[in-house]
Amino acid sequence: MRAQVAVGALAMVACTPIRDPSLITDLRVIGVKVEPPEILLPGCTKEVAAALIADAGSPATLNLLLGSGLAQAALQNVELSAFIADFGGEGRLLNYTLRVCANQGDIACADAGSAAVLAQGVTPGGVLTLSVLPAAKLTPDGNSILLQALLEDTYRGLGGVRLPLSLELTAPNDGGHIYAQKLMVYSCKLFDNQRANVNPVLPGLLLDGHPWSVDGGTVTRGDVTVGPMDFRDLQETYLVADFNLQPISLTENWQLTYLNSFTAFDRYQVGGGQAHGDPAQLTSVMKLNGLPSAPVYVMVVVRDGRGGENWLVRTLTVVK
Amino acid sequence: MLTPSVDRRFKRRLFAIVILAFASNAKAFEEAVRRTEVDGGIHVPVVTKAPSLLSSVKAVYPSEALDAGVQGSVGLQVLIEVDGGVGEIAIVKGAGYGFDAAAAAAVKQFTFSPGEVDGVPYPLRVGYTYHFTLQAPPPVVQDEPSPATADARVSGRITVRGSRKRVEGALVRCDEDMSRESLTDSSGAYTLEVPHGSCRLRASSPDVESASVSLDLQAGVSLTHDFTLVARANAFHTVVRKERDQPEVVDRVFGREEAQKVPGTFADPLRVIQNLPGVARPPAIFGLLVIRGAEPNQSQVFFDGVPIPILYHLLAGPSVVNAEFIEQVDFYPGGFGPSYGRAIGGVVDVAARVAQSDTWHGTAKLDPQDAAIYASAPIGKSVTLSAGVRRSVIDAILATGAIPTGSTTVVPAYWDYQLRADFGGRQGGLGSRWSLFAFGADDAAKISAAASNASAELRDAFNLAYHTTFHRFLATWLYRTETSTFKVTPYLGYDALNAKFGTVSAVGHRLSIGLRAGYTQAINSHFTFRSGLDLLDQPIIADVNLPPRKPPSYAPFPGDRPEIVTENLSETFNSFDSGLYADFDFPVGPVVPTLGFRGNVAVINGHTIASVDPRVSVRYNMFARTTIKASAGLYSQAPMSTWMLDPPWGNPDLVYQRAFQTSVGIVQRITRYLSIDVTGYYNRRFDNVVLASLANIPAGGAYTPYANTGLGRSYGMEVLLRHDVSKYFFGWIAYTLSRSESRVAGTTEGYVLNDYDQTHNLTVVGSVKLPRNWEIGVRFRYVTGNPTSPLIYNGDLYAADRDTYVATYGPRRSARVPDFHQLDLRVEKTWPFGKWSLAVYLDIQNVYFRENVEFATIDLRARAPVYATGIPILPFLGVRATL
Repeated sequence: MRAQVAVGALAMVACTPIRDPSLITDLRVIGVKVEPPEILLPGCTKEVAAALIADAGSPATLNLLLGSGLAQAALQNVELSAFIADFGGEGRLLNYTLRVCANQGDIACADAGSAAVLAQGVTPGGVLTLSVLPAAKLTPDGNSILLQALLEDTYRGLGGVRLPLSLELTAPNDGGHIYAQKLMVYSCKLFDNQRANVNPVLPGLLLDGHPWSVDGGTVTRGDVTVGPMDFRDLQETYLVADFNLQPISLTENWQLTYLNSFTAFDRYQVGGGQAHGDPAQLTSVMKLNGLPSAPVYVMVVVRDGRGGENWLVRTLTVVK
Repeated sequence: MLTPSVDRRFKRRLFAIVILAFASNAKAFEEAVRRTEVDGGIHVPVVTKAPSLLSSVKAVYPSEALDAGVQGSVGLQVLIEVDGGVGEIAIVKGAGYGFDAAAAAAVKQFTFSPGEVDGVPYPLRVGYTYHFTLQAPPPVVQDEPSPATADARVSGRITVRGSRKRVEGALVRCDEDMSRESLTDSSGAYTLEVPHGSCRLRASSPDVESASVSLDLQAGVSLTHDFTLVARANAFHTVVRKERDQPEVVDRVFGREEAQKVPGTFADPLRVIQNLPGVARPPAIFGLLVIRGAEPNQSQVFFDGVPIPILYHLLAGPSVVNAEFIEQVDFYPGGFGPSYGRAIGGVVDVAARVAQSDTWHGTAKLDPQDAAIYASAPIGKSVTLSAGVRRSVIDAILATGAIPTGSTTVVPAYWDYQLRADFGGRQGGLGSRWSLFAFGADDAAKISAAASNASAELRDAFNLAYHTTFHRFLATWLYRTETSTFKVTPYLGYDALNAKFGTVSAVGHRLSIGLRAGYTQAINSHFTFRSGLDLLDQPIIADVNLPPRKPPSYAPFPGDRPEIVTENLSETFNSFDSGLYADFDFPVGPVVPTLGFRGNVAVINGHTIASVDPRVSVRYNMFARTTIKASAGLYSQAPMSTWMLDPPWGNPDLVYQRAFQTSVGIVQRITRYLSIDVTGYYNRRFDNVVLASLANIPAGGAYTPYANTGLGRSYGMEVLLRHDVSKYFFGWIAYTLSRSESRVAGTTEGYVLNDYDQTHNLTVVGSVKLPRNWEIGVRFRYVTGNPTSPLIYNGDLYAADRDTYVATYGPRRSARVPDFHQLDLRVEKTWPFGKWSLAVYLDIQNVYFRENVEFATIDLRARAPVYATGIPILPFLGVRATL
């Protein structure tokens, strides 16, 4: 019976017109990255991690934590970049506020009691880059937001303390209002050969199977296939600690998101480790039936599945 | 001068006619009650005694008719009450000239010995024809001529026009000579010995329109004359079933002919269930049964007493049984007797059609959905065979390129078959009867898409392959005496499932080895005892590839998608479920309480669970037309064996899911055709199995994905105002006012509405027979929109690591999608030919093109709900040939 329902639901969805997510028509944030995406804390040993798991809130654990130099190690500037797509905005300025908070479930960092503002200002569409020090921020009560995030974490920092950064964007005219959350990761260095994550970098894109220059490409109308250059060797093997603080080796499985400013891609997200779909299917096709009046922006966002994120942007001119 | 007189052989003819009429109707009754027998034959109502005429009264010849010098015959239907008195009388065929009233007045004074079913007096409706004849005054001549010698012979057969159906029990006679008459046998044949000369040969029967023909008979010559007569329009059912001797308090019965005419059901009798009180309207594309707020998998479907895994083919397909093979559908929304188990919701019991024994018959049907054929034939005098097969057509149509470019759809492909043989005596008779029955169905679904935008993503995302098959084979032995019935049905089944969604796949094989045995004993004319055994063993061999269903052994990163490693689970597990049940009727005057119980023991993957379900029901025949009914009882349903695997896949400590069901109602027959049934109910479900949250990892304990912590409650009122099938019309108004809620014990969240809670559910169905074999039917439905959680949007909430937008909802299921309403229309035209008929039907769904919400989701950025609307206006043209 449940299988029947599942098939029925698929049929219902399949028959339902769904607004294509790959076509950018209004203000959107399509990617956020931090550099570096992960900070390793050398002083956070297995003993500290074990104490956190056992009783994170106890004074003894806190003393152990402070003694480990964790807080000091975390005090590094990070560079946050947000890719803001506002093709229809005609260069308008957007108000932004970047916040840090303790609760991962609070996408907007709306709980003022556990949040702090990192930066504010105005920006046009494009890539907004901010250099911030999120681990240093305190709540209005004077508590460390990083420590509070650790205490609120279900896994008590195993796999890294995930510190939510939330970028709020407001458009002055059309009421566009966006909160985009990126998790900054602070991890205990538990194993000698454990390395901090780095953002994934796609070696390049292919346009109908040919390298796509950063200077742009030209195609005729019809179906155009976009794909990545081979990145399989760039996917990292990495270590995480299991619940017994033993190392587990995993391999990244990058996910690509295809977007553009003119038409729809037939595949929005490809790759990744999702249970459905074909992991080997990494290309996407856009149908260019009309003639755009301006160059088409094609954006491919890559995610490594553990906080690393990046993107490539290419332009395309369509001729008859 | 003519003088009024009733023929001197009045009583003999009267008795013959009553018996004839009764034979026809009793057969129909026997057939009908047989088809309502409870699975396993716990109670097989049977006519154990036919009513017989004890005294009659001669009718007064109407003066108006006398003055006009006319004769006439009045067709009546007479209700013989349980005390043998005559109840309601209906004129089936009037004769005018005051004959109708005179006949009714006379018959009203008749007395009968009452008919009995299972040894209990039953009100039975019988057909009866009263003949008024004028006789000349005694001749002046003293020498009366000697009767003419019968030296000529007329023989032939009577069949129903437009079919091969033989008319049994028809009266054939020459002129008005009562001494020269004959009755047709089961093959419709008659033979009449008459004097030579002119003869007006007349054939009449309650089932067909009368006809006559003038013949010139030669001495010593045999003449053959066949009649092909037009069936009477109301030859669907002629039996009043209001006193059905079943413990079930609410039993809604629909015959095949009636059910096939309901608009919007594509002539599928089982879809009629979705138009009855107590049944929620599922999304149009789902073949779900949501009965009195229970989950779909908490109700059971039986076909000839054997449980079947699905009721409908995939994706709005028809029922898995060829409509021609369905004789009757019994629907129990709750309060059913202990012979039914493994369900805490409702029960649907579908009775298979048994082949007619007169000659071979067949039906062929074709419409855009599927093609089907059905055939039946007698083999000798005691064996009948019937077979049906059906294959979907829509997949073949779509394969020709009918899918428009730019669209994607899931195409169902299915077939089903039925093959049955019956041996032994006639239906409802005493002694032994056997039957062998095999049936099954196959369903496959595949995504079919033209090369287009968007479709590739869907195809990737679902990467769908789904194929399911089931087969059932059952043998039944039924032994009946005057006071007892024993029925045993061993059966075998095989189910297969092959499903694949991307990297997740499942291949399963399930065997079903079952036995149902039931015994009914009428202790005396009042007390009846029933008991039975219900065994079902279902070993499953499964081979599945799934992502690990357990908490990961490491802390996952949000949106973390490292290489997926599915786990393979190849295992054989087993579920044995048994039920022992008994109940006992002990009438106290007009009050008939039935006490019973069902004991359940299941052994699932080596773990034994048990439950006892006491059940009680009471019927109070307050007046001749009024019955009060009430029921209360416990119900159990074993967990699925896949739920009781060892952790982390399952929870071996699960116990029976339970429900406490209560109902009280009244049935009032208003007129001969019109009745109203009002029932209130309160059902409480507990120990229901729910999926535990992955976040609820017990400290130090093994993770178990299932728990018996589900609670539910449903309450409401059901009204069914029904007009039985009459000569020109049938229909009903079904209304349900209800509320169904559920919660999980141990959580802080209180009761929330169920997915298909529908406060108001109204269905109006009507079908009218018009002249020239036209029929027009309409169905209108109004249903409260399903619950949904209100979406709250105050800006995009974009989780960049997961590349998803997060939705914010208000209280769970505290809002509703727009209400549903829809009008469906059905037009059918039949052309009867000699031995076959052709029907063309047009079923139009959603006549006024209402965009009903069938499925609710949200847009990519979680800003607003997105409603998937159901079918647009959908005309459906089909053709059916019947032999």
